[in-house]
Amino acid sequence: MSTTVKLISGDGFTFVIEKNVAEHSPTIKNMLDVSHGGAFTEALTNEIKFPEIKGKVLEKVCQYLYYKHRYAAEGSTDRVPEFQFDLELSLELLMAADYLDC
Amino acid sequence: MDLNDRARGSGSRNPRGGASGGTGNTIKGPHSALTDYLQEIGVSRHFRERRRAETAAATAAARGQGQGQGQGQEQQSAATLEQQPTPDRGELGADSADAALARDLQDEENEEAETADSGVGSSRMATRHSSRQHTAVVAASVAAVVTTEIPIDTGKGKGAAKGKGKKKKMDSDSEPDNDEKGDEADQRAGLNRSSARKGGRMKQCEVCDKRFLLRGEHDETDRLLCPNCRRSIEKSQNEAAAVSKRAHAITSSTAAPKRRRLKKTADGLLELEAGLPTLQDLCVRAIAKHVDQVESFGDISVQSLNKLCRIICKMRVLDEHTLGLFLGADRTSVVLYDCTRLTKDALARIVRMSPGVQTLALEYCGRLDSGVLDAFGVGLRQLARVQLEGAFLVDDTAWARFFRVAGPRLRSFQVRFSGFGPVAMRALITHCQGLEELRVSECTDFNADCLGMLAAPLTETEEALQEPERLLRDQLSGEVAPWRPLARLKSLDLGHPHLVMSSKTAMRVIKTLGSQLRVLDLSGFKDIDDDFLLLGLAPHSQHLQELSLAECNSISAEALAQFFAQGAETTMGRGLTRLSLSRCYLLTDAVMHAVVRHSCCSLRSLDLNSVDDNLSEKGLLALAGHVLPAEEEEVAASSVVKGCPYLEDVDLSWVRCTSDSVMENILETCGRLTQAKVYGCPEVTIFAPTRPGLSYVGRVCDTL
Repeated sequence: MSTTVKLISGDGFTFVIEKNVAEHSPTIKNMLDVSHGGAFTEALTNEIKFPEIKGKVLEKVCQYLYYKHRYAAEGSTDRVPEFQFDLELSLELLMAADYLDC
Repeated sequence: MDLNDRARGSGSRNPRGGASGGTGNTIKGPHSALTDYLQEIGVSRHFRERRRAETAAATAAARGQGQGQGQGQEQQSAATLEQQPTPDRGELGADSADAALARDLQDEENEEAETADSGVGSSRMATRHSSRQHTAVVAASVAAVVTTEIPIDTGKGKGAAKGKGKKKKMDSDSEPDNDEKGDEADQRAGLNRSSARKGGRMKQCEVCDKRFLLRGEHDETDRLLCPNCRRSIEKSQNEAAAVSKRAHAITSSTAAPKRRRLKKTADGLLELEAGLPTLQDLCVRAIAKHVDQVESFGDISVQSLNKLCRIICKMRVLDEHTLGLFLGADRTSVVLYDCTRLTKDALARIVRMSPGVQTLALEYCGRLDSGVLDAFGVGLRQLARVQLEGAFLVDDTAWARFFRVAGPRLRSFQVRFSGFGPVAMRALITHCQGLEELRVSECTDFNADCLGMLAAPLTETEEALQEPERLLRDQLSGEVAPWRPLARLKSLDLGHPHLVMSSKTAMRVIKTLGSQLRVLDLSGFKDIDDDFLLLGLAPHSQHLQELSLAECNSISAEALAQFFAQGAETTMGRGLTRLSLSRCYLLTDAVMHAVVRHSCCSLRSLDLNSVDDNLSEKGLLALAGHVLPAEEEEVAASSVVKGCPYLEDVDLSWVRCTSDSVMENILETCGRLTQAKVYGCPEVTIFAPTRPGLSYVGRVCDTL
């Protein structure tokens, strides 16, 4: 089960995604990194809490991470669809994206 | 014998013959030392022929100038000379032929090196380097006069020969050494000197920023890429295309969308690589497009808005469109961290859209000029706190006008890098009597007179104040109020002045204002001395909580120690909360002990950046509460043994005696430490003690 990680939002929602998908966010990657110095708790339990990010926003973030995982390797083809999200979400999504650096 | 004779005869009769006659010719006729040498090192007729062929077209006009020089066996070299105009004909005939030969040698060596494989290149370069030196030596021995002219001739010759060669080459041709470097640079850029004739322009690659040669026309819709980047991007595109072809059905046209995606990259928002935009980009773009529908964004708290502003400024996309997010009739505070893209009109919008603003803080507002400042003064009727950093276009009189209009309302005024000078200062003193916080930092016009205006005017300096007053009187056409001190001032920051601030003036200011100040920052006041500290600051610092004497190098360590020792009696350890003594190179351990005794119970932030010269481990351990044994008798009475338990952040960068064990001791005592800056401390390693909540900034191991 070490190939998945749990991302827990501030309002209690849990999202289980694959580890290599989650590592598209450098912030998450550093949290799960066991090689450098001491390992964080998150790396040992494979659970990351985001108390400042709401469930709806974290869901969109997970969707984006999968989107990136799916289409990043393909380079510039014209088949990459646009990533959609609601306008109401965009501000909080921006803050979450800034924190996760993705 | 006969054969040999015939061969010899034929050899010598050949007009182009004797010299170097090719690698196979073993018959030696009378050669110059130079020609002999050339043969030795292997420069042969072949290379010279090739070069001649290249230079033939360009300098046809110069043909015939070099003819008739030199002896028979030198005609070989003379023939090559015909392409190059030589100013030194006549008596220097033979010598210049040798010089030309030397030039040829250099050219050929360049070609040799250029065409050489990169793997072999290094060894060739080495031999070329040594042989070049030999050449120079030989040429020098041949004609002392000519040697000085060789560099210049070489440049001219090459310039004429190369025709449309690059300017860089011509410039770098003036010396043999520059030649080499120019060649290496050209080689790296993918140039071949022999193909330089085709011409082209030096461009800079969009992706890797290296310079490269662009031949022919540049397609405007295409990106400017050096050959390496173009190859790698095409390779990735081909791979991607191959993958998509395998995975999906083949679509009809891929050309048009590809160009669209490439055009988007010019935006700057997409990554330069042919990849996905980041989530941050997507969000910002969506927000920017729909800024007018701010209501649809829902309820945003002030902190979220502030965070949003930070993010948008970090991404350098704060401009006229995104500005709308942060303005509104109900906003009381406008804080923008990067106003570089806001034009004057955009800044003026702040007045129109948020007239009720009370706090205005604009950083990097270089486009803010006097007109906009006037608009702020007139339009923002409730403005109480102003912070403008980088408004360098605003001049002295504009500030004076601003103070006249808005001064009485101001509670806090902070300005950096602006044209703030004596006139403005006088206006400030006159009009801003309610000012509680003042910061004028890094302003080039802020001189000692300005500083003096903070203190009560002496009769002899009254003359100096007349000038600004006269200016003000002209503007006000009325009476100028007499000088009154800033009675409410609690925080004074005059850090890093660009002009010299004399110690005496500073003394006067401190005597007037010192007793009411909570925050004092005199960083960069290099002139203030022990007298200022002991006679000026010490008696007038009862309420001082934050002090910065960074870069005040004229204060001796004894004076500092005495200052803190004197203060310790009155403060009883409840002294300063923030102290900065960065770059006070004279600091010693005794000062550290005194500091700890003075402020042990209150010190939250300590800055000892670069205080390396006289400080040792014992000084740092004072923070942890260790004292010298000699002072044991005092220890029982005072509270020094506690160290500084409330210390939250400490800057020990470049204090080389900081080590893991010192940090361990400090951490034992300072339970609340959250940040330790340790740039340039090689003894603080990855094994430094750490705990949750503590972060080391600038450890050497962290960057590797």
